[in-house]
Amino acid sequence: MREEPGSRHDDRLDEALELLHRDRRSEHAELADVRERVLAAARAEADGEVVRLPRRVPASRRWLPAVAAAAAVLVLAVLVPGAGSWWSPPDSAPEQAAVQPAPSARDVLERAAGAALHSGDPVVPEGAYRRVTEHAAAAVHIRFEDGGGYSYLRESRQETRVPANTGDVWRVRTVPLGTPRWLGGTVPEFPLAEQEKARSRDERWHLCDRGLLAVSCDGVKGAGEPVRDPGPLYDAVPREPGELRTYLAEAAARELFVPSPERVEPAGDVWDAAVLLLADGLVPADLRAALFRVLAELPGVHVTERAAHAGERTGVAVGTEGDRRVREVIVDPGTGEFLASRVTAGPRPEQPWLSPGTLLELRVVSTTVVTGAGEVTGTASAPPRSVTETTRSGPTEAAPSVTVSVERPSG
Amino acid sequence: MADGDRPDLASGDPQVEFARLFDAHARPLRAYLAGRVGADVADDLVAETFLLALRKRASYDPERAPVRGWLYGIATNLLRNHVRHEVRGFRATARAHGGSTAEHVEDHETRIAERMDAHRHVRDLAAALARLNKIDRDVLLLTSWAELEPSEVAEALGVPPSTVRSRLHRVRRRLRNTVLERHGEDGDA
Repeated sequence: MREEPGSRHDDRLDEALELLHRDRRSEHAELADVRERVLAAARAEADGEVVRLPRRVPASRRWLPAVAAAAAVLVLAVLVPGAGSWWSPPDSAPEQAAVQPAPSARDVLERAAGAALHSGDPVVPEGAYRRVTEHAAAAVHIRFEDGGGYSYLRESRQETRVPANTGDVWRVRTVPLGTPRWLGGTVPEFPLAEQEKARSRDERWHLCDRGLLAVSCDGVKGAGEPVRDPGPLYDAVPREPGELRTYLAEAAARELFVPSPERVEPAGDVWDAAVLLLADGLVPADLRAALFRVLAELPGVHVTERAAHAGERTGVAVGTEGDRRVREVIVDPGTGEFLASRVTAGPRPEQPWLSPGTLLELRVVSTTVVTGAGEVTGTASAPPRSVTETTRSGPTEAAPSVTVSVERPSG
Repeated sequence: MADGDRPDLASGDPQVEFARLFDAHARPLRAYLAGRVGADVADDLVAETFLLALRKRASYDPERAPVRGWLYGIATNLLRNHVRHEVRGFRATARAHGGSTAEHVEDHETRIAERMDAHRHVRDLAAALARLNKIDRDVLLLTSWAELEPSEVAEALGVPPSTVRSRLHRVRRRLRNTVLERHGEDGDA
């Protein structure tokens, strides 16, 4: 190309830059809640509630390295909650498993794979939607340059409605729930304002496509032109376990791996990629079965909990234990449903201010078929247990917060 | 010295100083972050940026540079944890724009051409941004979307201003090549 600075090329590049994600950038944002949260923290600082502050850097020294090194590490995590909450077993957790012979992870996952194939996929009539509901409790970790930091918990619920023609506009709603909960840190606790009430982002239409690895709603937002019919979801993903494992490793290296001094899993780690697919709620039954079989063959996978709690469901947890993290999936081997993904801190957590054994991630996902008005129209692989949904005010309360219809596993 | 561009964050009343800082910079910062990682994540990152700025306020030296570069430096560091999210967003945008151009075939010819050109450029730009390394993307978008001066970008990224200028020149040249040349637009440039 001939280089002509200041030419029409530059103008067109600037025009493209201006157009790219312009809707996002020009959208009016309601920042009052964020402002209040910041000023609440500032008030706490002024009142001396947070006492440990960095020393003033001499003018002769660069300030930026300190700031650069203060890169906050945002990681999803969940603290082990009290018994009886939506993410932990009730006091009356099933006990019968204790007297049954211990199954192997391969047995559990193979049985789940067979059940998934037997159950098949839900039929989505024209005009109806698949509704995927994810209830997650998650935390943000902030790390300072001196190795310290702090963590807080937040909870959200996301509902995605996928039309029969997956090329049509999907409906996605994300609702932050409750007040973030302080988890711990190397600094004294400071107040965390209630999460922003879901206003503009409570009910938002997104254009989505399949992404390179999983369904993605990140790229385009706002009602707009539908993408071309992408065809069956995940039709390009191989089903043969060996090919699928290679596919997942390549996709993980390309899409998931972000170098971090805290991460110990190598690029191309298959587990996270497989779970990402399983947890999106839209994976066809045959692919779900293949994913279960891939997980079963990974080194070190074993049954970690024979009666694991996932929302109102109980399944079998299988996982792999690392030094930093224990990663698990919770499945129902009887129905072939994927119920949840869970990550627990290992003996040496990435955030040293958190206790080993802390649960680091729990995403309870369910899928059902609903009409445009939200009414359940049928079942997929298991009868619905409930069609009511309630929300809760915060993650520390013990009452179950979500009761969802479960007709088909999320994967 | 303390003025709006160079507040004395270390010694001033945090509540007063951060109210001013927030009112002056939160909205454009949120717009910039929304362009990069989407609105939902942007809201959280704005909060995290100011909370981190509050906690690290003593590290800001008003004698050294205006506060904007320092603030965007914190935000840029927070963005590093969302690289995957951002890249996937650009890729999805590229695909979505690619799929939508055909929808306008029945429109007026001139408008069609203009819109399809714009669609193609945006699509190709999004795809190209997904392939850029993080620092080049930071340099380009801090300059274009956040409208930071090269000296401010340098402060935000912790590199010399000359590096910012050379990187900006190089990345723009590359994008002109990949985004515009693909469509045979070099003849009249």
